[in-house]
Amino acid sequence: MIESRALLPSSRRLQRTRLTPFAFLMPALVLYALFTAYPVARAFVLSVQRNVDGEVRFSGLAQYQRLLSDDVFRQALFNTLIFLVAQVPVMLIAALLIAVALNSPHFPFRSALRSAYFLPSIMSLVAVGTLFRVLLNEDLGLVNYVLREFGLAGVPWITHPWWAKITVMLLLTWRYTGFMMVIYLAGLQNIPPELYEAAQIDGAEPVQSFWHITLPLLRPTILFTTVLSTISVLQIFDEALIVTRGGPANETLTIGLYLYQTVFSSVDFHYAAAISVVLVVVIGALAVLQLKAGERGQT
Amino acid sequence: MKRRWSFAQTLALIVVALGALLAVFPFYWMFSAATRLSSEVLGIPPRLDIGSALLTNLETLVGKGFLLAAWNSAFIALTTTALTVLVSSMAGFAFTQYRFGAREPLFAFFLVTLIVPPQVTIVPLFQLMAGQNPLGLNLLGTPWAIILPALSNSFAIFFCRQTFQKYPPELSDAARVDGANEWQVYWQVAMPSVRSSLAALSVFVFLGQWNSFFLPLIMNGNNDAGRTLPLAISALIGENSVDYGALIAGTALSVLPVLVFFLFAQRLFVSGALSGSVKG
Repeated sequence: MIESRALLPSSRRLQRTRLTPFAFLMPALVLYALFTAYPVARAFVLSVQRNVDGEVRFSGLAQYQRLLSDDVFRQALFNTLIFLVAQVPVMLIAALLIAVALNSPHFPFRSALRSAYFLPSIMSLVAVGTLFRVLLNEDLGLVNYVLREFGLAGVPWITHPWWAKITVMLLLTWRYTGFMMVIYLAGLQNIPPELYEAAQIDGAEPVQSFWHITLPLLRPTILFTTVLSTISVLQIFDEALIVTRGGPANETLTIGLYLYQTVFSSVDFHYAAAISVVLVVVIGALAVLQLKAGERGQT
Repeated sequence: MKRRWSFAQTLALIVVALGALLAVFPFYWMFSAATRLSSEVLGIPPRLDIGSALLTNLETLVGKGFLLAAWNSAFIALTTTALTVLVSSMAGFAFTQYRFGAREPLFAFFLVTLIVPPQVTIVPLFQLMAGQNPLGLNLLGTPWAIILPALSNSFAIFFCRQTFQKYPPELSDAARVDGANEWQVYWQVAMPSVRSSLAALSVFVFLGQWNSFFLPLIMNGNNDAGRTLPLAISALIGENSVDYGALIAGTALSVLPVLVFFLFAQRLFVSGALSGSVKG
């Protein structure tokens, strides 16, 4: 606000000069320097230091070496990768199939159904986590009640190591599938309908059209949603904190949660900074890998 | 158009409709459970009708500072949205309406930060807000510790650059001929002509900040007065004997404004989501 007011000319005349674009950019540049560029640079610096009795010293890669032999960190990394490998493909395939169904002009109630699927993505992860925690309560929750009514056993959604992981993945799927579906719908609308008509005239079945027209033309969209979901899954924090607190026995501990614990329980800023740098490297590497794989598939 | 209902199509309809039901049901359950006492929310058999404990739950929430949390959430989200749109649209305007040597390198600088996850900046930001800055200002516990970092939003700048690329510069030139200065060209001519795009951006930024948890938790974890709604909900879960009625009512309270807005302005939510998005 202050910056914008400073631009207002006292003489009511502010002609275009070489400095004009920089005046418009100034607020953004100042905010970036302070709250993105400086903290990123500082995180790297912190990660190569250590605190010896209140005195900060350069420690080279010592923090990173600690990470290599830290079983809890390894567990967090493993859990996060499990979420990535098991949840993202299931969600994206479901989202794609729903999008294809709801893109068909004959599908009944399709705009209402689209809205219904999109609805969960307006809810905060804290709210979603809270609802799941109560609905999936082992003894008294609605979901286990329904399972028991059908003669099945109640599921230890939150207390069993593997079920707790599945609970987090169900939550992610509930929250993000509709969002991905909307992105796919936009991609599908860019495919010219003439292609499908031509294929139909040539006697192609709908399934063949899907494999030979929809999938290849949707490749950029699929790539985009894959990178997007990978980035969000690697940052899982709110949902795991609310639903399982990282438990039982660290089975749903994620890198984001471990980072938080390192800052606030161990109050070890240097180690936390090293964790965050590793997280950036993992995210960057996976994004580059996926983009490369996407490119190679195209040629 | 020939239309024949095959078995496969019927099956697809049933599966898709069931999935949609699963997507919507927790919303219904939330509003139903918000009207029940703690013992009824978790009770066998579960009930799905509307109960009579809504006022009791709301009273409990008021006693736990939910009004203040709602005000904090609203203030933080609205301020963040207004300032983000202002700062980013100015930058987007500069990047598209002027030619200058540093244009491409500067834009690349903003673009690179798109892939920086918020976890990386969190430790230095915490220290910065805790007083490790040249001014010695301690902003922890104030709304600004949450608002200021959010203003550095590279997605918003990217979005605004895309938006202003579609804005015809002839409109600016016409205004200049009529004697408008550069600020007036931006504020009175360019901004009104891209307002529908900016509305979608606003919805997106607002939603991200309203739902945000990580940054407020770090900046405000121990400060009751500065709590936002997600923090207040999380605090209820952490209590020794959880009041489930109040917990779900508080959750519903945090979702309701966004839900009502969504029902009226669905299009804005969808186009905000489509403009390419990163979890906030």
